[in-house]
Order: sequence, then C-alpha cells, then structure tokens
Amino acid sequence: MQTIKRGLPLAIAIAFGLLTLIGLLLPLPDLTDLILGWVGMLAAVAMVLGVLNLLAVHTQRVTAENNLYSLVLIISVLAVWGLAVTDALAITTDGVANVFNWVQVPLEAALASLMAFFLLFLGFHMFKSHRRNIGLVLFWLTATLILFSTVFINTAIMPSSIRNLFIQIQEIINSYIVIAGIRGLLIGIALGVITMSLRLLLGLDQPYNK
Amino acid sequence: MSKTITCPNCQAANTPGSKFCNNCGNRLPPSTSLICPNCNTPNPRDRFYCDNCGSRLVKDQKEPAQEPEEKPSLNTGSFFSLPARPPGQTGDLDPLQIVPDWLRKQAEEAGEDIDSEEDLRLRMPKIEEIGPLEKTTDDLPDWLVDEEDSDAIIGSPRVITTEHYMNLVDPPAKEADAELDQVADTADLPDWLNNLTEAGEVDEVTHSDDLSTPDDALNEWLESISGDEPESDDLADPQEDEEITTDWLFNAAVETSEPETTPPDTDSLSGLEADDEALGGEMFDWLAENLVDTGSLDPLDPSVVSDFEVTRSETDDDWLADFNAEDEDEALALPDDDDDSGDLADWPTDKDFGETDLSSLADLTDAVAQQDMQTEDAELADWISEITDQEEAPAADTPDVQPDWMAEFTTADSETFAEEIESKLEALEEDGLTDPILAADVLADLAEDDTAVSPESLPDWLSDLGSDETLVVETDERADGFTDLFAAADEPPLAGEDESDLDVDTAVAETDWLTEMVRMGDDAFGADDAEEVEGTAVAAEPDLAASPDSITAEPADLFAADWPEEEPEDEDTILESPSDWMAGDTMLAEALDEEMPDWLDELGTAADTAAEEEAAIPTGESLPAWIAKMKPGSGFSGAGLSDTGGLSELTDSYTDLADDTVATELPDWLEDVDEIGPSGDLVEESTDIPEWLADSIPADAELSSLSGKLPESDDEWLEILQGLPPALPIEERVFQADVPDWIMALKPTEIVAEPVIQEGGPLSGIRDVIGIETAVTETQVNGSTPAFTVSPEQTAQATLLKQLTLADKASTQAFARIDTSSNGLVRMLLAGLLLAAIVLGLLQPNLLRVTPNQVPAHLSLGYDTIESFAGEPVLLAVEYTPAMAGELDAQLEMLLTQLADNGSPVITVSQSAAGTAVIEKYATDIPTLGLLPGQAVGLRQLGDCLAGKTDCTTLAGRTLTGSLSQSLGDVALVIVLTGERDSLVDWAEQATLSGEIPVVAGVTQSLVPVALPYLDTEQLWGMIGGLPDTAVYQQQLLNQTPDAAIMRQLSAQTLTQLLAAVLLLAGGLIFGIPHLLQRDGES
Repeated sequence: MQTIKRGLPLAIAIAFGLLTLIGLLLPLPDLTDLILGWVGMLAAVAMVLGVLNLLAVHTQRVTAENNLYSLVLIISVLAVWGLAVTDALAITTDGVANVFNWVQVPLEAALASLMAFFLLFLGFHMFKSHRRNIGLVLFWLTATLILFSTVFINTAIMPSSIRNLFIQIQEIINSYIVIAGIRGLLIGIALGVITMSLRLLLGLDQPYNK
Repeated sequence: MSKTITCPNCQAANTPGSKFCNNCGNRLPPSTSLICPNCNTPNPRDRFYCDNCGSRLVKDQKEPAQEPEEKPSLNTGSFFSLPARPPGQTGDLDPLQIVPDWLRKQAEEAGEDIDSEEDLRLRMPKIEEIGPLEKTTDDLPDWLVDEEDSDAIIGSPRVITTEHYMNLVDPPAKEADAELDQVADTADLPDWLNNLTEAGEVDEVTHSDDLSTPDDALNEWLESISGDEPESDDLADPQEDEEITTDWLFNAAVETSEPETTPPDTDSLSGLEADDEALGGEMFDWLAENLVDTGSLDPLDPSVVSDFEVTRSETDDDWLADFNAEDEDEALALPDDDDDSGDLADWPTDKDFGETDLSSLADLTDAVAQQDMQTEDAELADWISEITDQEEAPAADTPDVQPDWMAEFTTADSETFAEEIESKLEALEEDGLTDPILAADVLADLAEDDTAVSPESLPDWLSDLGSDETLVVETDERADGFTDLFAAADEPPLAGEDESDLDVDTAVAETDWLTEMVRMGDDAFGADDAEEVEGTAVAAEPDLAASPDSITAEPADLFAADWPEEEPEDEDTILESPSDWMAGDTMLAEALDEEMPDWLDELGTAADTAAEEEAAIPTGESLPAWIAKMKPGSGFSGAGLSDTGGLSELTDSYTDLADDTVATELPDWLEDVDEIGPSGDLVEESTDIPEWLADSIPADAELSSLSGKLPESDDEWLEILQGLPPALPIEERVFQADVPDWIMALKPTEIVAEPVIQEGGPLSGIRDVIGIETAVTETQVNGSTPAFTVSPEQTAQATLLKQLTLADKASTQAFARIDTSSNGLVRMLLAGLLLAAIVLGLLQPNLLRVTPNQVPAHLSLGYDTIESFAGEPVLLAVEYTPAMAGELDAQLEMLLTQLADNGSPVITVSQSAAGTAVIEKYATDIPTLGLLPGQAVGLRQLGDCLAGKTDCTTLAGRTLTGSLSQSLGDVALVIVLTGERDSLVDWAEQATLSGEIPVVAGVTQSLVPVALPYLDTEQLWGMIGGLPDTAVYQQQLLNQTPDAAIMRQLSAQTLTQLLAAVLLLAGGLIFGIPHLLQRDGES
C-alpha cells in the first residue's frame, strides 16, 4: 500500500514530464496543448482550493483566536466575491473595479511608498550595523552612484559634462555589471531548472509526495 | 528475574529496591516482589497469580469467603504442616485449618465435622485424664527439665499447666504471629512418630505400675520427686484401681485383662510430657520409642505387658547391680563410656530384644551418668549400665566364653535359689514396692502344686504362657535355677519373711519376665511355628542348655543365645533357633529404616555395618510381632484405650495410617539436626551418639523412677488440678515453649510492615491485603548524587550552541540597537524628508529642471518595433499591480495612444487579477482575453496559439469567440507591461518560444536591469524603463508635449531619489567613518 501510494504519483510525474518534453522537442502540439490544458484546469482548481483553504484557516483563527485581521480578510473576500456575483447578475455596476481602484490601488501604492521609506531608513543606518564588509560598502557605493546618476542625468542641475559622466557611469554599470549579474542569475536559474527537471523525470525528487 | 531496575527515562540501571533513578532522579517502577503464599516464589508486583504454582497472589476482598477454598488445605494430606502464615498476611490463623490429620480423620470416620474451635477443644484429651501428677517440673530430673542449659535440647518449662498440655496435644491453632510456629513442632511430626509418642506415653503409664523397686536409693529418689507416692496396697483391689485411676487407664487395664494393671506412673508421664514439650514433641518421641519401644508391645497382650514390666523391674533392681559389681572382674567387662557398644545405633542391630533394650538403656545411662555424675542419679545409671553390659555381653563377646556368674546360675542349688527368692520377696515387700497380689497369687498357686504350674492356677499372663507346652515347667526346677542366680548375687534374704512365699513369689516374678520373653518370641514368629516360638522364647532364658527340658535353663540361654554351637541336642527344648531371634532385629532395623530420620537411619546403618563386620550376628527372615508393632501404622498404642476418650481415639487413628505416608514427614528442621548440633557445629558422621544428644537421653532408671503414683481419689485429682497455675493467654503460652536458640536461628523471618492504605488506583481493592515492604514505606533518603560526567564532545557541542545563541541574540540586539538608537525624532525626520521630497516634487515639477535629453537604445528599439507592426493586432499584457501603477500607468496610457494612432487592434490579457482590473480601468472598450491562469503554462499555450500552432479556439480551458480567436491568430506584437521579474521572464521566454513573436516590455525603472539581458538575446525587442524613459519616449520619440502629470511624478521621483542618495551618503559618512577609525585604533 505504501509502495502504491508513493509509486503512483511518481509514475504519473515521470510520464507527464516525458510527454511534455516530447511535446517540446517533437512537433506534437496537440499533445502539448492537451497536457497544458490539464495543467491549466488543475491550476484553476488549485486556486479555488487555495481560496477555500485560506477562508478555512482564517475562519479557524477567528473562532479559536478571535483574530481581527482574519475576520477582515474573510469579510473582504466575501465582499469582493459578492460584488462579482452582483456584477455578474447586473445588480451592481463596476463593483469589483471600484473596489480595486479605491481600495487595492491606494493600499499597494502606500505599501510601495512605505517600502521606499524603509529602504531610505535602512540605507541611512547601513553602516551602524556590526556586519560591515566590502559587500556592504559596494552596495552602499553602487546605490549612491545610481541614485545620483539618475538624478544628475534626468535633471539639469549639474553641468552637462558631469551629466554626461554620470550617463557613462550608469551605462557601464547597467551594461556590464548589472547585466553580468542578471545573466549569471538567469544562467544559474536555467541550470537549476534543468537539474530539477532531470530529478523530477528520474523520480529522484518527489515534491508531490511530501 | 532481573537484578537491576532500568529507568524508563534514561535507561540507567539501578540497584533493586531503588525508588528513584540514580542517574536522572526519575521515579522507578516498584521492584519489590509479591511472595506467593503457597510456594513462596517471588513474583513481580504486576502479577495476580503465581508464576510457579498459579496461586492467587492478591487476596480478593470481594470474596473473602472463597479465600480458604482457594488456598491448599494444610491438613488435607497425610502430612503435618506447620501452621504458617504467608508473608504479608495478617490476621489470626484459623484454628480449624490446623486440626491434626488424625483428629480430622477420626472425625470424618465418625461422621462428624469439626466445625468450630470448641469442637476441636472438646475432642482434645483432658488434662484430668492425662494430666501430670506433678504440678511443676521442678522435681523432675535435670535432664528432663534443663531449660537453663542452652545446649540441651530438652528445655521444658518449669510450670505445667492445662493449657500447656493442650498446647502439646493440640498444635497451636491461634497464632497471633509467626513465632507460634516454633511451638507447633508437634504438628510437624511425622504421624508414625506421633503415634509412637502417644503409644509410648500410654504404654509407659500402663506398664510402669510395677516398676517399684526395692532398692532404697530408688525409693528415696522416688520419694524425693513424688510426695504422694501411692501405696502398694491400694493396688490390691482392682476396684480400687478403677477408682483411683483415670477411666481410660482403667479401661485399658480391663481390656488388656491384665490383673497386674496398676495406676499409670504419673511421674513417668509427667516426665514424658515435659520431655515431649521440651523437645517440641519430636525429640522425645524416638527416645520414648526406643527406651520404651518395649512399650510398643501390644498392651492387649498381657504377657507382653507383664514381660515388659517385670523386665523393667528386674533391670531396675540394685541387687542385680550389686551382683554385677561384685562379679565385675569375672563377668563381662563393662563397656567404657566411649565404647562403641554404647552407641545408640547399636540398638536396632542388637540380636535380641532384650539386648537391644538393655544396650539402649546402657547408652542412655551412660549419657545421663556423664551429665549428672554429681547427682545421686548416677548411682541408678550405674547399675542399669551394669545390667546392660551383662546382658549385651554375650552378643558382643565370643560365644564360647560363658561368664562365671552365669555359670553360677546353672550350677546353683535349687534350694538356695528358693531361699534367695524368699529373701528377695521379703525385701520387696519391705520396700512396699512389690505387688502383693501378684506375689500372693503366685505363691498360692505354687503352694497348691509344687511340681508344675497349671494354667488355671497361674495368673492370666502366666496362664497364657502355660498354654504353650514348652512353658510347662516345674516350680522347683525353676526355683532351683533362680536360686543360683540369687545366691550368686549375694543378696541377703530379709528376715522375718515367709521364705517359701517369698521364694515362690520372687520365682514367679522372675519367671514372668522371662517367660514373657518367650511370649515376645511367640508374637514374633507367630502361632504357626510353635517350635520356633518356643525356641525363641526360651532362648531368652539363661542356662537352658544345661537342662533342655527344664525351664530353669532358660535364663542362662538367654545370654547364651548367641552361641549357635550350644544349641540343645534335644529338639523338645525350647532353645532352638536364636538366629531367628536376631532375625527380628534385622527386620526391626529395616522397618525402622523406613521411619527413622535420616540421621538416625545412618547411625543404624553404621551399626549394622559394624555388626556385620564382626560376623557375629546371624540374620533371620521373620520379624517378631512385637518388633513389627513398632512399625508405624501397626502400633499398639491406644488399641486398648478405646474407652478412654479423646486420647485413645486419637491414638487409634494412628494405626489406620498407611505405612508409606509417614516416611517423609520429618520436619525440615529435624532433618537438619543430623548436620547441625545445638551449638551450630557440624556433627560428624559417626555411629557414636552425638554428645548433645547423649546428654539429653534419659536413663531408663530415671524413666522408671518417674513411674509414679496416680492420685488415689478424685479429691487428689481435684487438688492437683486446682493447684495448677491458671491458664495463660495464648500469647504467653506461645512463649513458654523453650525453643533452642539454634532452632530459632533457623526460623525464617517474616516481613512485617505497616499497612499502607491505597486509596486510589488499581491497587485500592487490595488494601491491607499485601504488606508493603519496609523499604518502600521507609523514608527515602537521597544520597549524594554522583558527579555528572561530560564528555569533551558534549562540551564542544554546548559551547557551539552557546555561541550560536549569543550570535543570534547579538544580531537581534543589533537591530534592536538600531531601533533604540534611531529614536523617533530621526525616524520622523527621515519620514518627513521623504514626504517633503515627494510633495515638493509634485508641487514643483521644475525644481530640479528635469529634462530628458538622450534616448536610450532599448527605448528606440521599442519604439521602432511598435511602429513596425503598426496596423497589426497587438496583444497588450498588463501584468502589474496598483503598487506599480505610478510608473506603468503612464506607459500604458502612452502606448495605448501610440497603438491607437498606429491603428493596431489591441487585445488585452493578464495573468493576475490586478492586471485585469487595470485593463478594465484603462481599456474598457478593448477586447480582452481576461485572466490567463497557469503562469508559464498559460503563456506556453498562448504562444502556440499566437504562433499559429493551434487554432486558438480554446485557451486555458475557455472557449474563445470567433473574432477573438481570429485576432489572436493575427497578433503580430506583444507588449508586456510589468513590474515583476517573473512575469517579464515568463513572457520573454514562453511567448516567444514557439515563434518569432516580437515582445516589447514596458517595465519599472527598477526592473530595467533584469530586462536588459533579454534585449541582448532579442527575446525582447525593445523596452521602456520607468518614468524617465516614458518622458523621453513621449517627448523625443512621439514628439508630444510632456505630460504634466508625468513631469510631476518624475520631479517627485527624482527629488526623492536625490534625497535617498544624500541620506545614503550621509549615513555612510556618519556611521562608516567612525567605525573605520575605531578599527584603526584597535589595530
């Protein structure tokens, strides 16, 4: 029973992994579409299940711990869902859009601004930490240069010569340093994806059995 | 059973009995064991039934009535068992459970049940019936009462009470504690020993009536120990006997038809009782059996009784001792005290009963003489030993040597013999110890018939002898024979006596015991072999060979019986086969081997071996009846006492016991006696009598001297009884028994502990049932805890853990210090500066003179791409959230305007809910695919659709309309507006995977570095990065007037960025330089 319980998902994972790989390597678009269609449905169902699980967890927190934030979350979900239903039933008009424009957009903007504040505050106290190293200095130096260069490039407060200098410095940083770093990350991610794919195809890694 | 207790917590081994773990201090499971009440096997505490015997270990309180039934009965078998209480059990023992077997059996045969303790007491013999004459044991010989001597086995209490005697008869039935077991030894005796004990006592009482001796010393001794010596004349009338004796004794006398029956020797009885008590009823049994094994003779047989008594009377006579003393040089040499002939073990192997008896007496006498040489009793012992030596001499010495004094018997003149008889009888009469009735009867008979004794004229016992043809003797001949004997004894006749009467009387008396020896032979060989019986009987008489037809020769032949070559030539003589005589001894030894304790058996075996080596003991095949009667189960004791009440009934029951049931009933402690003496020393295996035992062996003379005189009337009895000390409580009676210390040392100790009340838990039902071990109830004192040893590895691990913990704490404290150091003012200052910069930038767009001057390459590529696909359907993916709306909304509006200007139909799509909301906000009238779930997978499907690989009728499980599906198939450009990396990557990778679909990305300024690599790989055909690119794109590429909103946002953003840059620089300078200086100073 234990073998079946663990072996069956493994076989399914390996089989569909190979089918997907075959669909990419060989001109079998129907097979690829079929598999991807199942993946979409499963993802949608998983999203529904995720929403229901979210409601269950926070409902439990409300009943067991009297968590106010959980209650707000539940009310918000039910309210948006109710507005969507009423929009669909033409009971209300642009209910979900209004909630997005008047609730979500300001909240996310505020959080983003708050993030700018946090970054500024931590940048100011960067060297107060005991973990002072060259990385910290480079980060501090790079951040300062990028910020100054952006300012100096987009403004006319500096003479044009200095402005051109900062344009070159920014170009160098973006073209070489940042792209080198980003490519390195992408290559690393690609290698990791290949390794993970091989492990999934070989059954060495079974995240579905956890 | 494990010897250690494993701690359930740390698995450490702890010593048994520990309550707490020595390693971790955790409470340990109880280690004490439940002792099985049946087999004493220790069982774990969680057991309810014994592993060994299956007995229930825990008493069931719910069914207390069934408890006795579950326990094996202590008296159901044939064996006696000490009333024992299992360890931990409390409460009194049930007296009914320890009813002796013989009593229970008797009750069962009678169809009665002993239902109560009262019944048990009623069935016990009364003290009035068997009570001692003496109130105390102070007058008894020291060997009987020697409680002060620690080495002596016999240690009777000084005071004999009714309860005390009851205690002897009835094994203690109401022990209050385990110490009562020590006095219950009588209950532990083998049945046959008990039989013989009772028999010996009764027999002693019955047959010791004529043990009065003419010896003055003996009389004095008797008078010294008995103040109310009965008069001999009182015994003349049988009716008086009936009056002055107890019923059972009188009945016994009547049954045995013994005319000479006299009141029992109460002295002897008291001695026996005291001795019995002192020995716990065990030691004396065999002694009594041995000493009075003659007492094992059937009392129903008058001849035997008479024989025994007369024999005892004669052997007790001092005249014979004196005679022997004078002829000591000429006669047989007396054995030394250390001589093996004096061994107790000789008695089973002696050649005839008389020798056996006498040798034993000699042994005992020697023992007594050694112990009490300072006392006048030694004199008694001497003459008994002399007699013994004389008697056993023929067996030990060569048969061809006849003692001179024996020869004198054979050659003595008959007249002299008659005179001696007369003188002897006179002496007896003077001493008042002679039975006048017997003498008168005999003399009268002799007067009627001088030549022969007719059966009618003889007493009954003599008549029985007379029925035997071989015993028809002439008085004169017999008188002649005995005349020599008395002449040789040099016993002066008493003056003033009728010599003829005395002669006849004495002769008859002497004849009686001699002829009774014949009777014993008759019993031994049976009536079928008359000749053999005769020969055997006469063999006990000396000098029979001299005159085969004469009875006068019989006494001599008694001593000459060991000489086979001197068998009479005349077959008519009664001297025929002395070997048959001795055969009985062999059989006796065999019989006793079965019943005797091992150590006695070994002694007897050793003696047998020694006797066989001497080759002087012929063996026979048959066993004399009187010897056979000594065998357990066939004893005579009590046979004639059926009317005497409880005691006789009890003793009768002995005879019903099977022979095989008595052999293994010896108590354990008695079995150990053969190995461990009273002092604890190992007793050497030898045929010699152990010293400690020899000291305790009474002399026959003393026994006989104790034969006492019963009270003459009921008043005396009443007086005796009233004079007895009051009955003591049972607790005190228990301790009256003087159990030797060395026996006490062998007694196992009982665990006594305070009952612990278990009020709860599964053991609450067995409250007070099981005692708790003392170790459990005692206060546990925790000793010093052993030092905890730490290995170096453990130390290193602890150090590492400590460092890690402190490090995490330090990092946390670092942030905490930041929080504490950066006070609210600084925070508010920074926050205010940030807000001021934003507000200032929004309010003053030209504060910094933001003027995009150069168009980046990626921006130009983007513009070119969009322009190149002008008029073709464009798929616009809005993948940003409201948080990115400040940067991307401007791009969306700008691009929508451009696409609208280019005439490119736009289809919107989003993989996030926020994107669909943005679409609905800015592109209300634009066809949309809506939400495209599945991240990369959805984009993969969409890419196939865009590449024309699929018909695009269905997408992500949703059926698309015809126009929409057609439009998707015609899409020539994909513009992705996103502020997140994953979304950018997915679109750049998946959407373009299936074909050459150009993708232009509009991203936030922060995401520009991520998008640049895809530009180099042409996965992105162009990019618009942030507000600065939007402003440049709008002004330089689109040649549009800068949007005021975009310019305010760009101004605010630039000012904020400047503030951030300044703050970063200031923070680095403020906090970084002191740190560097501090490190330089430290270095």
